[in-house]
Amino acid sequence: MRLRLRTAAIEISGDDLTIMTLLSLAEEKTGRTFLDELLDKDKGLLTGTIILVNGENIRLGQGLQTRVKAGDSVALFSPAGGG
Amino acid sequence: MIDLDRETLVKMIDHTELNAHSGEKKIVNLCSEARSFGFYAVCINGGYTRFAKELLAGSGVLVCTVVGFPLGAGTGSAKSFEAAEAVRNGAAEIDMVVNVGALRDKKLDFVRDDIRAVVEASRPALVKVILETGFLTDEEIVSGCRLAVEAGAKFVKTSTGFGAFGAFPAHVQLMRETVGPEIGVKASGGIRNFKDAWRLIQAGASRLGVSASVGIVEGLSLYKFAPAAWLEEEVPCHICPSRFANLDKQPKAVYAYYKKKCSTCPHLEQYNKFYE
Amino acid sequence: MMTGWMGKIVKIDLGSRKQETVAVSDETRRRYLGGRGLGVRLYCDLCLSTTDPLAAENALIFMTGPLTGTVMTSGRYQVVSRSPLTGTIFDSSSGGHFGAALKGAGIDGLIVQGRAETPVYLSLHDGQVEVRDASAFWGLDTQQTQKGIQAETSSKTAVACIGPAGENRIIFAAIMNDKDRAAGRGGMGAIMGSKNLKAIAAGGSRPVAVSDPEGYKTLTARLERIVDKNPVTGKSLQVLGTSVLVNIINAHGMFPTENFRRGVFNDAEGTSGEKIAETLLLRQSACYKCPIGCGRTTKTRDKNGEGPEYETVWAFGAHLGISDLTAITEANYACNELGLDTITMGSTLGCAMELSETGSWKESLRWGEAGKLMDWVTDTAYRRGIGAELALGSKRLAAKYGRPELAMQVKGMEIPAYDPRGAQGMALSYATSNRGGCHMRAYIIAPEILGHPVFLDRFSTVGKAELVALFQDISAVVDSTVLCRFLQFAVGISTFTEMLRTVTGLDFSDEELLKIGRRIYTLERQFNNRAGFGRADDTLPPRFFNEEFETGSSRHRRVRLDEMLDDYYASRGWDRNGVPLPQTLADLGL
Repeated sequence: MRLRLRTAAIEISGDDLTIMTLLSLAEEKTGRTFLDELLDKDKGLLTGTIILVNGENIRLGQGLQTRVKAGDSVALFSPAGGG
Repeated sequence: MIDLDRETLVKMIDHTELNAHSGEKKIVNLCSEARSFGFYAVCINGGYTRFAKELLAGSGVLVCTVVGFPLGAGTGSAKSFEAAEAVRNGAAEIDMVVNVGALRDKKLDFVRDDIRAVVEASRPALVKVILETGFLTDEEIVSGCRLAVEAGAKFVKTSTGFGAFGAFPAHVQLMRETVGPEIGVKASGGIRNFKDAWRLIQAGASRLGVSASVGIVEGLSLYKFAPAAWLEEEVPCHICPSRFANLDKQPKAVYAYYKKKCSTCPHLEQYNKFYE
Repeated sequence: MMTGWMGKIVKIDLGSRKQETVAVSDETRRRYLGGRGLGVRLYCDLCLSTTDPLAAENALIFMTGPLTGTVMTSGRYQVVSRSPLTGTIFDSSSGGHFGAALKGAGIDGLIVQGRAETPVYLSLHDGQVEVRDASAFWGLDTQQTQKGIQAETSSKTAVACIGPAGENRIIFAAIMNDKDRAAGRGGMGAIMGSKNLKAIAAGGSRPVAVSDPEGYKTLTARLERIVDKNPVTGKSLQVLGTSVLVNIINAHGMFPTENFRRGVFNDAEGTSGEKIAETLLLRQSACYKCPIGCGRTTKTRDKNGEGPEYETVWAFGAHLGISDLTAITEANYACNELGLDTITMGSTLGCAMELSETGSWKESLRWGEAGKLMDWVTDTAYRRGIGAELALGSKRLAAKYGRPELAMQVKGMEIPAYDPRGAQGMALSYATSNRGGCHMRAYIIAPEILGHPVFLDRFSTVGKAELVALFQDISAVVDSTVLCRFLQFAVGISTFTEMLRTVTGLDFSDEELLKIGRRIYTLERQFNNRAGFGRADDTLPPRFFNEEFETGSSRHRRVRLDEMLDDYYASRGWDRNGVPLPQTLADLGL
């Protein structure tokens, strides 16, 4: 994703947003699509997509409906593997 | 514990490829996988029925063709023609889309006749009726099921995969309770892995319409031999249709119906609020 | 006609030069497949649990599998023996082309016993094994060795060899093949060194016969599509290599920093896959018939080579508080040339730094001293100066200076780049690995962190016991067909049964295949039990039970092994001491 977006981090102004909303805002802000790296065609999380809010995986919360507030740090990783 | 063996699972699967943009290579691939794994049928659009039938010769895998797909808003006679032609071309099963608009208008006779025409035209092939749950309330789902059975269909099916909702355990359960044990319930749409599939089977699905078929079958071993880790209880909201209601994709009335359900849900206290 | 296997395993004694063909029954092949499974079976038939790994009578086994040389990723091979580092039974896996070359030379496997009087290498071709003089190559690094052997055989010869580290019997010396691929862990290179065996060269183009050529072709086309479409095998591993994990593991607060004292490395970014891609990467590289291509061909200002991989980036990086990617990379190149395991090397250095910091050891090795990395590595390979101490490995080094708890090892082998306090399943995985601190026996990181094939809560211990056992069994199967584990990100066990069917003609069910894996794992356990390993060794260093991180998303956590170990033994049919019960052995035919 970084290679597509040419940046490693972006800042979004807001408070009490769902992750889904945040992602859409991020796409708007960068002016580039990248959600296909993270979501499938039904806008569900791809197997392997990792989204952390302050270090905690949203799959343990409310998934894409997890809410974030001002000051939160969200990390996005497209599916990866290794050994 | 999972008491499902691989043979049983593969025979519950309609290995599916319905995209408008799918070329021949995709169908060749689909049929080759179906043959290798022994799936029950392939589920495809009418244009490929004959082609698939030839590819599957001698394999025991059936061809299932969709009709009136994906909208269901055409005429009964058009659907009947499609169905009869598909059967001539080798289809053993027909997945037709119900007239959703008429169902919502409560034009029960109309809907029943529409289905019956396809059932007649399809003989000896069996007919599954796709309700498109994403556009319906629970009442309408129940009504659609009853009409399908009355009209002689052998299966009811949740979704086209192109509508607002895929398959939810809650809907499958409702459909199963409505049609009883003799009629088939096919779950389709958004089934990505074995965990999804297993939930639907437990809710009463007897057939699955899936494109991630291979992954689902492979997932079976993982779940079977190490169930405790995988099958931790899911947060109810994660598998509830109400959470996925979407004003962009659904009629306003249906959207409001689900949001209301959400606000009166018994799990609300425990699991946070998703309604707006 | 046999399909898949070539049907020939050669045993040679380097002392007497006597050779014999080892007969393997169809039934044995069906029960152990090849690679790791067959290697372990043969080793247990030939050697004892008391056999000294570096003694002449120890057997060193090179084994391919029925799928080697056929489907994608099938260039790999396994090296099996008893490890001088751990004392457990051990198998080390390596990629590249060498496995396929062995098959091309008409051979499934090679068993080496005895010790040559002077340095030799073995030349394999056309089903024959020839002993040749290697004195001209003794002392050369692995790259020079390969060049030299190719010069006197053919440029197409595949070479597996040791460097100075193996010659000097460093107990974590590696066997290097195809220049930069490593059978890295466990000191297999030291065993070769102890036998005066410098290299094995394999050449030839015997084709591997396939049972169902049509089915094989269709399957191949399908696999290519699946692997290409999968985001891990078709994208992230290709673009960023295994070091894609650096930022991910760091974000989970479990990137072991400074000998596992912290879980977040401030300079992780600077040593990440993304950074490698930006600054050092020339191109990706792939093994035999591999469409994934996770390898990194890289170049620093003065040198070039392959790697570094995720584990190395960690072992020479965060683990030592070093963020100089160039230094890390060049140390990696050195390990490839000298033939040294990067994980044990790096981990031992981290242990040494903590020993030094606490004053337990009078030497002064300091965190972050990137400039000295190259010297430490080289000195270790030659047992020079401080290298003579580092060559002990972390367990013996820490014990020598009275601080055994500072060695981050299990059963003698150092644990790699995932702190178990961040993933409870990995805690169990490390503790119960048959070859010591290994992340690959059961790569539970996949579901616990990466969410593959499904996502699990990493801090939960529920069901992890069964899962670790299952993953261990599946891995044993993959290691016995000998294919690359990375395939598992795209396909599951059913695809392995399909591959085996089209190639060998044998029809295994999923259950049967898993049983084979279980049999192999249990046989390994039996050997280890006899060698003196039991419940007391299925544990982790005290740090993981007693200390917590203060920061990062894995903070305030400790491993809860006690919640999982008994369940693990129960699910495997072992008693409370981790010894397989008679019924379990009977079921598996052991």
